[in-house]
Amino acid sequence: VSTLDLAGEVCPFTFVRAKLRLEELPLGAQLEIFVDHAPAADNVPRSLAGEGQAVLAVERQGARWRILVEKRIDVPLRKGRTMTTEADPIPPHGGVLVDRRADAARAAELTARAPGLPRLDLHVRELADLEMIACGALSPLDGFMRQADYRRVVDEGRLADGLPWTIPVVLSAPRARAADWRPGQEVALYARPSEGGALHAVLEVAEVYAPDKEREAKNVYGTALSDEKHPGVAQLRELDELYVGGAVWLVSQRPSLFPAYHNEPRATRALFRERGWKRIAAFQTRNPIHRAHEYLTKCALEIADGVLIHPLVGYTKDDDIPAPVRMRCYEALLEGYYPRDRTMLSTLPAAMRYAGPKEAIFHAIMRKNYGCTHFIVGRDHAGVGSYYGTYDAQREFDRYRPEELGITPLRFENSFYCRRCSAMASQKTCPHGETDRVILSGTKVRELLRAGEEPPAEFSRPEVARILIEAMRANA
Amino acid sequence: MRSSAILLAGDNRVDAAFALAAEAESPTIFLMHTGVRALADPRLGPLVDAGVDVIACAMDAEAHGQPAPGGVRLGSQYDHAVLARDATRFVALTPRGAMDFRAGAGPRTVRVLIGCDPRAPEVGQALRSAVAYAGLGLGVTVAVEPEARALLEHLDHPPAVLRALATLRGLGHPVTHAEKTARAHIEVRW
Repeated sequence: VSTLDLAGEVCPFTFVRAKLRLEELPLGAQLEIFVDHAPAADNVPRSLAGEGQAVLAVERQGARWRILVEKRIDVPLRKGRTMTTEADPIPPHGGVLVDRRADAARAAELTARAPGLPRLDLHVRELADLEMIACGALSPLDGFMRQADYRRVVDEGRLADGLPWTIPVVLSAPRARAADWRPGQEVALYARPSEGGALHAVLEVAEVYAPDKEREAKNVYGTALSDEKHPGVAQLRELDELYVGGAVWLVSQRPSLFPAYHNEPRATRALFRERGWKRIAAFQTRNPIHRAHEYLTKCALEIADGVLIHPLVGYTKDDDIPAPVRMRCYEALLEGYYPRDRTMLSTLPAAMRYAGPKEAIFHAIMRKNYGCTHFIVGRDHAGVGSYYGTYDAQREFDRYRPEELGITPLRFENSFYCRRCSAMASQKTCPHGETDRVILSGTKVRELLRAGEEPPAEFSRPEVARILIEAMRANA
Repeated sequence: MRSSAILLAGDNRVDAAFALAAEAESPTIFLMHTGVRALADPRLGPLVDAGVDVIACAMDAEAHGQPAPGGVRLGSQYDHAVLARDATRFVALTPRGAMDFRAGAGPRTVRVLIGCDPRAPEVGQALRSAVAYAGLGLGVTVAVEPEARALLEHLDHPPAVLRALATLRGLGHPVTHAEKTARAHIEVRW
């Protein structure tokens, strides 16, 4: 039985707080409410009963009243937010799954008003972030970061309220346009003309502030703002001079390139519930899955009820393999080598930052919002070039208490096929030397594929290799 | 559910409220703010005897030292919000206005217009009722008119006002300049 003490509370906060507390509880749970005002002892139970809850007892205890209620029905009060259900194995980050997709009436109203609002064209990364915010993948963010969140994320890897968060999710604007924007003002957010130029959202300005991009580059990406080789920092430089914080309402969403695999957090959570999965391991990837990664996901599958293959299909750097090609590889691999009822392929339409350790935490938090309980972290997660140590991303998780993150990292070492073991293995499990291991560099693999040669079957499944060879031929 | 609801929230509207109650079909009157002074009005008893359902905000009745006569129920903002949700006709009689709405079936929206100095007690009452509407799941918009724009410009307001504003925003209901808002099914002008 949970308890809510409403002594000293006034109407209507008495019944509103009681309802909010019930919202957090699973169906069938009991809530004991204490009030110290005679009218509240009548009105609170009446209001809860009127909503369909079961009032089990109202009894006077000296100067106060005890009201015992059993939750019989979900009546969410928080508009634009959805509570997860009792059957969800993990709550969203911060406790509520944000939903900033405008309903039809609001969307029509905002769309009608947008032409009269200041216009801001979004960078491709900002557009992806907007959609991720709206669907709840970035819960608890309800918009682009305000200054207090931004500063603390950059300096300490936490939101202003202390919740772990490692990547700034920001909206930039040219100083000439945004300097006189005031709190409460609305701004219409559009895709750039090259991206279709459509209206996507309306933002209510909370504040406009000057970022410290040099500090952001150093603390988040581990390099200087002037670094021309880091793709994440290159994007950072492309952003405008000021950042604009505030809540957003998404009016329209870009059509998914992979509609059959497009599942937002509510959908993946529902799918997990349907399948009865309680332990779900997520695998983030922006590459084709070769045998080494297949091995990691199957190790995870040994301890989980299901695995979510969750490829990032938003922005990636030019020399990464395009998402449509990768999706065909994943399909072929899952078709031939994974148990269908314990594997789910779904896309993550986020933009890649290449922020290594910081992005590993960010990726884990997103997967928590999608309902996953475990997150696979291999070597050089979200890395690029030689900016980060091989296992820096795994160590980054040690900066947070497990209960702060909620999602559990599954740390894996470099894996490979060992001819003497006759099995996939890692440095943790294989005593043999380099010469027994089938390890190919990315450069070597690309050379083979370009030449139309399949890498060894111990390195890559033939079905995957053939798709990649075909794609390279087509590209050539 | 009674088909007509009369919100009497100003003692300058008692005559109108009673006249309306006498002619409307199966009316319910909800008394709040200075409207609770009607509890002492000798015309109330005959209305109750004639079948008019009268509910008074218990908190406001207590604050104004108005005991409830026989036949009058002491209720809460919950009762007020239920009327806004369910009544087929809702008449809002506040110190600043008289607004009459007839709504069809389906989810309702309420726009609470605030046009007085943020320090005035009416603002607290307006926000309290807005929280109650939100508490019942109605779509609420708090529309701040130019006279009350200080409500949006700084945070130097009584704690009860700040709390109500934060609650509404936290529940996802807009609190914004009136010119940015659209008409709702029910409008209450404070």
